[in-house]
Amino acid sequence: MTDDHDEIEELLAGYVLRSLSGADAAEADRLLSDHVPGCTTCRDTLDDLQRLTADLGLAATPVAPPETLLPRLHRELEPQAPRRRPLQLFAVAAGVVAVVGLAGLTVSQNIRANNADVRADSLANAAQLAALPDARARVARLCELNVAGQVRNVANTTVVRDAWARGQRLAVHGWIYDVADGLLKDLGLCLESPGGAGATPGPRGGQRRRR
Amino acid sequence: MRDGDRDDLELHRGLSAGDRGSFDALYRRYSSSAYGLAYRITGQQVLAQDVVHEAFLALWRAPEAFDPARGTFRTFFLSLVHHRAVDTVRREERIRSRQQRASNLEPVTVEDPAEGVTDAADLADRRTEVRAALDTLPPEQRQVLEMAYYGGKTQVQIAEEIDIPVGTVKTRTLAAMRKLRVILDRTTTPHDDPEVQ
Repeated sequence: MTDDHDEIEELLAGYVLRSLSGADAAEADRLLSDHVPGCTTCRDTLDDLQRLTADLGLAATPVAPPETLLPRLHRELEPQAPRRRPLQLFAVAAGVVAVVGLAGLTVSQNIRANNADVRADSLANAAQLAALPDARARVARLCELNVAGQVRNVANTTVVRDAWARGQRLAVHGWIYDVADGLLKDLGLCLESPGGAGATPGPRGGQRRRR
Repeated sequence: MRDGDRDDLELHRGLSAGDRGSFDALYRRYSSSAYGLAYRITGQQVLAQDVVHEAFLALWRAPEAFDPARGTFRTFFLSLVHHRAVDTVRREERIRSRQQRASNLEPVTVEDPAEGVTDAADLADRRTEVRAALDTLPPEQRQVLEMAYYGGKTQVQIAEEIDIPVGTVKTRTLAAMRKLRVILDRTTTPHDDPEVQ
């Protein structure tokens, strides 16, 4: 046990240099958890020592890293995980306009198979779809309706219902992208509670986001 | 607080909000210092690249690890680079000593990267001050400090290598650090900013 401040400073000096091992390292860990947090002198000493060691780093001759390093980093900079925001769930579908017939069939089958609400709305949807000018627009709209159905399905799962029941902040979003332009579009049908905002996107509603 | 430190705070705020432009600006400002330090410690360009790569990625993924109340961004980031470089050296030493036992390999030769980088003026100024302060240390104090900080060696390893008691390594290290603190605090005082305390 070390409580003498000179001895503590000696240990902290070794600690900031990362040169402690064995019993010294264990003693430094003990001090850092038990003593330093409550001791103004030691906290100041530690901050000073840390500033000093970082300055030692500056004394090394600077060398430009290879030019490949920044591009390599850029490839790995994924968008940062949302911080202090509710857990986000996404239902995303791709609209494959190139295979119109197949996509339309698959999507409408999914809607019938998976989603009672969409089935109930199918007359209204059919009328809306028929009003659209061409097959491409109809397929795109069908895909959006499918995403809306998936949002409702996700919101109906036990996992999500349980989370809402215990008061956890959780939101289900419906986003879609078209392989023709690769842009993510928020369909604006976020659900944040069992009876939350409706999961039917407005016709071509929402905003496009560049991926 | 120096202007450079204030700019760093601004850039760190941007980076924390996911702004890649701020990330690039911090990279431009610190990559040469970080790479020079990592290279001095690891002695190999490939390892130094990995260290700098990991450090910047860690900064992007967990920017909240930097607490402005505890010191400057420069202190935080160079400490991060130092820790990772020392960890890398120790890991490599373990691998190398296993390989040497197995096949008696020659030690890895130290490469020679191109040097001489134009740096941000405030960093260059501080570099000059720190080097001047190091030059004032008695050789036996400077030796243990450099073996620890740039060599990534533990106090026990240093004691064995230069054949002195571990207690002597500790007292010389502390004496060196105290002396540097006195000299360098004198040159930092005008820049201390009570707002950040």
